[in-house]
Amino acid sequence: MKLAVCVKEVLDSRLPLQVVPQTGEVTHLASARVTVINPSDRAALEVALMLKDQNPDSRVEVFSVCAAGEDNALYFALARGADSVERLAPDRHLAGPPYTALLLASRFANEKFDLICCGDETLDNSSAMVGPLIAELLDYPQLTGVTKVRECSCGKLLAERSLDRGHRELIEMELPGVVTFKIEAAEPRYVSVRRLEQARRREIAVRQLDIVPSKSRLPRWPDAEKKVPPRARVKRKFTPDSNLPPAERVKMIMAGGVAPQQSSQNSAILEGDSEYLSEQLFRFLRHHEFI
Amino acid sequence: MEQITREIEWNVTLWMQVFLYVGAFAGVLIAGWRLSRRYHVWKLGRSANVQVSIPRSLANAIAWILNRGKMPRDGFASLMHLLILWGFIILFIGTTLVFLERQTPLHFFYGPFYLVASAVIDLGGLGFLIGLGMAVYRRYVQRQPRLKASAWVGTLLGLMIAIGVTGFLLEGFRISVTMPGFEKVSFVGYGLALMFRAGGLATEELTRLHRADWLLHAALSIAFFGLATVYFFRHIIVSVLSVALRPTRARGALRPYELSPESNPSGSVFDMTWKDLLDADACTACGRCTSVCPATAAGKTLDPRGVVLKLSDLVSRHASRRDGTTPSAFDTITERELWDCTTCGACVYECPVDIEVFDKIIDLRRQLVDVGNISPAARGCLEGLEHRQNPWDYPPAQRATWSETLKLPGIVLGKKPEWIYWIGCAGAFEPSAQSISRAMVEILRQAKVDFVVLGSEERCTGDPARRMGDEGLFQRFRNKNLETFRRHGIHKIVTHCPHCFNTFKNEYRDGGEPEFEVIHHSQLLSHLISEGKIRLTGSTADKQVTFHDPCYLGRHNGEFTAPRTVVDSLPGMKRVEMPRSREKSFCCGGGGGQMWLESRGQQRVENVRLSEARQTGASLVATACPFCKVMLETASVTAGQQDQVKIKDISELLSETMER
Amino acid sequence: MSAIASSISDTGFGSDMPLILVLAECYWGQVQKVTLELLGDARKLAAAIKGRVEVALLTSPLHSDGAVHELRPYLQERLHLVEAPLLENYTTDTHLCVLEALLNRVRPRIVMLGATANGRDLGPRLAARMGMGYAPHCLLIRSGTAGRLDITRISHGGRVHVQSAWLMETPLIITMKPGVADAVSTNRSPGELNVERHSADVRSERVRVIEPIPADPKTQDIREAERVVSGGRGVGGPEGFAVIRELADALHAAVGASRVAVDLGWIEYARQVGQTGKAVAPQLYVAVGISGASHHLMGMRSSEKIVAVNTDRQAPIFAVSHFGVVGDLHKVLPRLSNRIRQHKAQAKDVTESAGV
Repeated sequence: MKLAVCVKEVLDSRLPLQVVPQTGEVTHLASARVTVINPSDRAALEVALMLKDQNPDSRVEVFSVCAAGEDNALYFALARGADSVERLAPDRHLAGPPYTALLLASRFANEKFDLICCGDETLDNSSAMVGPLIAELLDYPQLTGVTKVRECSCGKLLAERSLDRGHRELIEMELPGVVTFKIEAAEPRYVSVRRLEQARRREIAVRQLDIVPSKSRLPRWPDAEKKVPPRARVKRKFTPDSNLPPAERVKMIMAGGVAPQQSSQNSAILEGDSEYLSEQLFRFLRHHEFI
Repeated sequence: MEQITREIEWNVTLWMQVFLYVGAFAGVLIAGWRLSRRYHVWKLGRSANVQVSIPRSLANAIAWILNRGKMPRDGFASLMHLLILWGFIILFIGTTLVFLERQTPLHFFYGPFYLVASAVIDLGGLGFLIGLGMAVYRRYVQRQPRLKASAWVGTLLGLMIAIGVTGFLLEGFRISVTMPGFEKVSFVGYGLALMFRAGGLATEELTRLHRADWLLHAALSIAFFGLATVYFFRHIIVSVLSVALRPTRARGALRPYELSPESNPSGSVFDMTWKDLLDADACTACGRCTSVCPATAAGKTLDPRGVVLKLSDLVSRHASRRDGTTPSAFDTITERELWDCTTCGACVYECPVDIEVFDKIIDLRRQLVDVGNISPAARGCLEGLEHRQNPWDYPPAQRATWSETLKLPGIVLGKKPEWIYWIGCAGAFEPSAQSISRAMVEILRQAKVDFVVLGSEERCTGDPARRMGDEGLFQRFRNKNLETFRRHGIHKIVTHCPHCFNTFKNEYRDGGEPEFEVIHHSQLLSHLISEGKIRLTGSTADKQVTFHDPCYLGRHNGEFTAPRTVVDSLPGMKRVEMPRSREKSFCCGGGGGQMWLESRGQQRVENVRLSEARQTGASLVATACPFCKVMLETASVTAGQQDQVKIKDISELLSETMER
Repeated sequence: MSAIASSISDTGFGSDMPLILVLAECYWGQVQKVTLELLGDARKLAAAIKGRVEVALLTSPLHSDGAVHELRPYLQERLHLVEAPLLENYTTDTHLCVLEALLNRVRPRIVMLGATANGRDLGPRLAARMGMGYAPHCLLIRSGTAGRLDITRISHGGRVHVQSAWLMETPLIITMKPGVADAVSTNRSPGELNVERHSADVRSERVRVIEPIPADPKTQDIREAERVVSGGRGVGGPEGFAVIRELADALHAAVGASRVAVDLGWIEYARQVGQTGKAVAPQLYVAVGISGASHHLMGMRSSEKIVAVNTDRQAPIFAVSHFGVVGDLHKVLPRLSNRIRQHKAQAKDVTESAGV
């Protein structure tokens, strides 16, 4: 079985981000850039390697569309145990998920990959487009948001796919096809620093593809985008129980807007007997439509 | 006058002698062959970064045989072992004398020499049997918990007793035939002879019995030689080697770990160091390590003796393996037991044959980490270290947040400071430890100590990475920190964290010249108090306090006095010692990465220690390590005792009573 | 850009009354709430750009009556109904081929989908096939200046908003983040339902849904749960978790735990929330008897709404909770669970008596 995995290096989302006003670039606050392999791509890689363990004659080849200094995800894949990695060099003037998908699909066009594995979305763009677009360009079937592969044999893939609100479905797809994986699809395996440094000493193959985007079937993507930090929005006003003393009511009104998580003074803390407390809890939950 | 001697090999036929010598030779050959097989397996192990010095090894071994090393810590066991060992040696010398007298032209075994020798030999034999009796009593009657009342050991002890008994019987039979008066010096044999005579046994019978017993004694001795390398007896030979090759590095420093680029560690003998394999074979199975292990005490799966014996078993399995298979330590050692270790070092402190117990556990962890076979919690901690330079996974920008209002003097490039106060990750991120940092800052300012902090240039020392098994990650931190120190010309560091202290002192300069001096805050504080730079007022209202020795300050680095001096200087404090203190201190459970790993077990290590503290009647536990403080505080919460007992660092106590 | 505009400048694409088509999210015959939010957004936008709104519903003949019935009270627009057995549940191929045909017929300027699992699966591919623009995971779509549409989408997991301006002439597919817009309410005076049926020749050979796996908060991974009720030291023991489970059942939530509860053996490690456990970000996190030590907070800080129940007024959990209650969980929780059950029973009675 030949498996292709698409990976990307992204900014570590656990560190606070900021948008640089002048350039619109998103970067880390006050410290050096720390990047990681996109977590759902990592899950995709783990699933591919797991499938390889189950089918020993398989190959796992990992690809990334990135510039020369942004290929850490490929080195990671190498250290983790991929059979081969390859960087697809993008045209400096073109960018965006449709272009990425185009490069990858072109690369896969003439090779017979049984399964193309992607992460469902990246930590940066979060557009979730690349997987489906690759499938469209290659005219392959697709499954997005897969959380578990149950079986992969005889040209078919049996998997659990995640829907909304915790529901899932058992779904079957013919191979060859494209699958995008959620972070939960695999427990990631630790890669020791020794192996990472070992992988660093190896050379990564680079491929330049001559692609003309306008000739392909792609969605339109805006030429210019402006990145801004989010503004707090007041969603709903919480109307507290009018039997409460005024001070409490004010406190509770304050809590009704979308206050930033850190500010403690805006949230309500009630004291009283159990009947009263349970009733107020009920109202809060009801108001926010949890009941 | 009758000749004061005896006829060597009276009643011993030629065939019997042939049996003895051939048998003995065969026995020694078998033992030698088996030992050599084990030796070849040890050699398969990788380098242990140990420089073997013959003179020092000899000195170690001789000193140990003479002064008994750590044995005297257990009086009963020490006496027992002394009797068995020296009793056996005396008996063996006795047999050698007989052999020399018979087989060589030397002629000395007569007259006064004979009398003295015979008496001593009998004493030795008696001591031997008494010692064995003590051993049997301790293991099978008293049922000492750390000793296993196994059938195999019982058989071996029985063998040795049988050798001793048949030896005395032999003497008894021999003497009973002629009853020479001078043989009273061989008092045991003489006593037996009297009994045989009194029992009415005829000379012929006695002669026959003598011959039969001689053969039995010979057979048992041959068996003893042949079995010299089996489990339990093995330690007689190999323990001398493990003591001789005792490590010379500081106890708190782990061995570095170098893997060749192609290696894929899998727990085989090739992946262990030769020293670890040899060590494992030296194990006497005495169980002292397990009896002091905090993880075992808290009901976890770790049993240090078990790990060592399983490695010894690995050597056996490898020696006797069939072609194609490579036995692995992980066949018998579970990952869970390896992750229970807190690296407190109590096992190493107790081991009478100087086995590097927890180093083996860490080495096996290193192999697991290298192939990525670790729990999600361990992975989270290591990846947090890798990407965010601290084991708690906080954003690095928050490192200086605790001190924002304090306006601490930061380091300025070009200006060489006197002291660097190293905060460490706990002191920067963990709320409970931040108060230690704040207290220290107050004290340093009050005492007008010229210090700066590194602020955001600090990063983890790498200690958690090393203890959890990613040596490459540790080296990264080490290199970056050393670079920072060199860039700023740092040569004096004080830190309140014993882990940072230990790593800086012992692990940042593998064998080379120390580039900087590092002291623990307890040492600085006790110095400042003695110099009068800190004056203490107020009273702590006659509080009963007990000091908990941090493993990384005390046992690993020998500092017990300085923190006690600090506590004793606080007015009104009444300090009591816990039963397990100083070198015998019981771990708080926070080391070895445990702070960030999930823990299982009936009890928590920190709760075991806290109840020990509470039993002294103390309402305050003083400590000198942020990890100890956090672990004991957690224990007080889970035990519901947070109102009855307070945990404070010595710097906090000092800061509270300090005159401003 | 202009070449495409002219080739599809047919009816519906005229500069007056551009068509906004809302794709109803329907699964196993059940219309999802996000459809109502989309309608709300669509109507606002239509008012701003002087367009008209129509709704597309793809479902199987078995479920179509029920689905239409569900939608009916809210619908003021024309409904394009496509029925085929294979449309019972969503697969990319079936929906793609049906919508391709439908879009070519009705020629919408803007197609709105929910940024749901299925919406995000379909959106990019449909846009590529039709040569339309694609704006994923959006919060807002507004009429801007000079014939442009101002669209704000989220990136970086919600921490960055990306604003772009689209030319009105460019046909666009947009997926909207659920839970942002207000859902439309029922019509006060429902009129005649305007349904246009379309036939479809739907064949799917490549992908097949075998069966649904409904969410079971009891067994699902807590990271996937929308609501979590967690117990900590205050629960007091494994028996104490019974009241936690009771509340979790009433709220259709998963049960979580703090490190202390797991370490003391009261509940299994898989349920541990925190730095050494799992990181969860549900819509509702109820912390019961949990003090809120930093390692726990790190595992649930990003929850949408945090409710705390604790006897200690000074517990750090109250610093991050949106609603806190200082009380004994053993008394408060059972009462709350009762109240919820009461309420549900009443609601059920009402719907039954209304004969709906």
